[in-house]
Amino acid sequence: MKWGIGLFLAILLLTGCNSGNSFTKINKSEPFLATVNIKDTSLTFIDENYHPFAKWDISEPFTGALLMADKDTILLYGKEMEKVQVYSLSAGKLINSWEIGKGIVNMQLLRDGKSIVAVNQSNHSIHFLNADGEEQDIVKVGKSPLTVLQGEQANRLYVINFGDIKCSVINLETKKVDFEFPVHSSSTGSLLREEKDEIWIGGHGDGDQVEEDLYIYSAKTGELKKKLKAPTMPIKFLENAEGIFVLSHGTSSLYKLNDQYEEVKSKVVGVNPFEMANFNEDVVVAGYDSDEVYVMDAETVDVKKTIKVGEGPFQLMLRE
Amino acid sequence: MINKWRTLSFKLWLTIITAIILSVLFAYSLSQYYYKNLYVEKLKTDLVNEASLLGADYSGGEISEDFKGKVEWFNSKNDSEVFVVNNPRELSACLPFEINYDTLISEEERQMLLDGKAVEKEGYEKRFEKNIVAAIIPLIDEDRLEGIIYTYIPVDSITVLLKEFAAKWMAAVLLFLIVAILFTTKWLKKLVSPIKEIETAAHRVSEGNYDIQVEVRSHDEIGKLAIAFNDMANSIHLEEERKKEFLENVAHELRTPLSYVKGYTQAILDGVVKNDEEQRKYLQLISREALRLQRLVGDLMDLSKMDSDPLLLNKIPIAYAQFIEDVLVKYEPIIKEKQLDLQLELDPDPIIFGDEGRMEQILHNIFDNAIQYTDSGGSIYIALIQHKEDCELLVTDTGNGIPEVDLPYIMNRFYRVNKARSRFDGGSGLGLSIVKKLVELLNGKIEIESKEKRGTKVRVILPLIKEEWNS
Repeated sequence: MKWGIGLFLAILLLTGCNSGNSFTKINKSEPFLATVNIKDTSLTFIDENYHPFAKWDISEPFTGALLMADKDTILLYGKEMEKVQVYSLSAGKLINSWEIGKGIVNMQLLRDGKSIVAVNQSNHSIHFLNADGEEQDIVKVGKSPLTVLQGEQANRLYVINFGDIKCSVINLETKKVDFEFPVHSSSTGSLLREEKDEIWIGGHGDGDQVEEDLYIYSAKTGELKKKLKAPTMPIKFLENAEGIFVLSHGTSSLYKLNDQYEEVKSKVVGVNPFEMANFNEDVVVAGYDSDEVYVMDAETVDVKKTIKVGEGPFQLMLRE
Repeated sequence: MINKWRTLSFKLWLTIITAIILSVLFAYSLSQYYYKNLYVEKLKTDLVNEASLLGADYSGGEISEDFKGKVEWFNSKNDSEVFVVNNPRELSACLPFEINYDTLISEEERQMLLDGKAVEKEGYEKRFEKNIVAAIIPLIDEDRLEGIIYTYIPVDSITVLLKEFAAKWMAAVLLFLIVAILFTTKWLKKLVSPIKEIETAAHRVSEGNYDIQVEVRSHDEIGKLAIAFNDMANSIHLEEERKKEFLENVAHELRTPLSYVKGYTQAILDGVVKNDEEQRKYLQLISREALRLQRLVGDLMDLSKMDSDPLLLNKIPIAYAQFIEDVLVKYEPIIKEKQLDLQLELDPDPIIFGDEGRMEQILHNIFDNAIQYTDSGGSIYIALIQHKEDCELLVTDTGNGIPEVDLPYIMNRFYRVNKARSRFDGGSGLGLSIVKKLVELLNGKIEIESKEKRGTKVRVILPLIKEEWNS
């Protein structure tokens, strides 16, 4: 009996310690590239020299992370999570949690550095929060919104609805849907080129039909301007000084296009990649099935380095 | 009516039928087990082997139309369905994005395939809307799941086969059960009917009907029971007869002296007796008959005692030869009177363990008979011979002997050689049966040999006291 009580107390003590879980502290001044690994629900931090230096194992089914304007606070969210968890990187621990309900699949920080956009698939809405997590506005959009993109010039928010065949455009002044324009089904991934009046939208395809094209619509009117071949399932776009990069996860390929939409280079990279980012003037790609990050030369599109991360890297978070 | 469920035949029937049904169920489970574990497992292994052989032709890179064509060709020649899939949407490549579509493989299966493992499936497949046994093997190019080879066999065909098999099997089982039940019932009836006969016969015996005999049809336990029953019924019958005879004998033996006593008494009372001399003669006759009655009652009591309490003997060691001589002393006057030639040849060694009174009773009876039935001038030879473990007393006379037909029954109760012989010259007919009983109680045996008109030889064999007693 005494033994049982002892064991119980020991467990209580251990779980007690666990509840105040602390992780490797991340120095405030250190730039990093972090991967959100959704299979083992962890974060892998990689430094500028591409050395992983910390891994945070979070016991929550989070699917995304957002770095706040202070460059130290991060938000962890997931569709199945009741709360958004607020962590301090320098403190290496949980500092707060916001109760905003289930269904969050994406969070973005607006350019004012204070407003946060939370995409809720459960109620097909966009929630506007302040920096303290207090809800300011809620805007109803199409079915299963996923990708959001802020346009600076017209102060608009483009919401691409994955389960719908429309893109909802919200006026950030009035917090109202300005207009909607038709898009292809299962659309996801986007690139806004306001100076060219272009919004690039990719996708997965419908049913067993694989999306083999990327679509360029007018950012102002929503009119389809162009269709480009991008086999298969283009879901991520990136533009830098070297050109425009298109990541197709069906063929695990990266395509580099020039200004004239011509394919300059293409490369097979990673295994089932979902995510891509600019870091250190390189292009980094996360391979979901291979649990690796690939560092690619932006010019030659050659893989410079491969870094092992947690299981199922699905999103990249940068601090530069 | 007897409760049917309590009968032995029903219990046996139930046991056998239960055993048969259990065997059938066991056989069915076994066939299911073999189907599941051998047939389905073998099918899966075969499918995996087949797909792996096809997959060996894939040399990496994008899956070519040529490769697909080869697989299609193979499919057209083969029983199982086999196809190549390289559509990433079918391969769960879009996950974790939520897609409103049932992919061919789940995310877990994708992980297995990415690890290079084959996936085996069994059950209903929504995509094909049928039950299947399937195997999936991955086509991997540098960690990338480029495609899969999916091969399956609709188990509908197996189910149909099984249904057909099950129908036939059920019919066979039903037929087998009917035959088994009919056979078992009939066989049990045959098996149990002698027991019922014995039961009926036992009831009749208990009602006093001893003539009944059960027919013995077999040599098994039931047959032996029937034989034992018949023996028992016979024994009871014989015993009843003996008892009856015994009572008749007792009544008869008592009636004669009683009628004498009554007759003489009546004669005296009626004044038929004229003088004192006659009266005295009559009273002597009455006294003699009373004595006879007394002896008879005494003998009967002895027999009864010996039957009910075999431990009544008060055994002590007896020097046999000396004992015989002591008993013979009492016979000297009568031997002299009858002018008999008595020869003795007694071994002085034998010591027996016996009851003095009873031993005397035995000897008296034997000597009485020898002297009584030997005519004047005859001879009597008495010998005591010691053997290794027992001793033998031999009494031989030259009397008139016992007819051969009577010899086997001579020691039965109330048996008389000369049925007409008056009781004046014979005893009650109980003497020898008492002797036999006493000798048996002393663990010995008695044998009588006789030839009519030549004489009789009586041999009494009794065990000697063992060495430890002597020492």
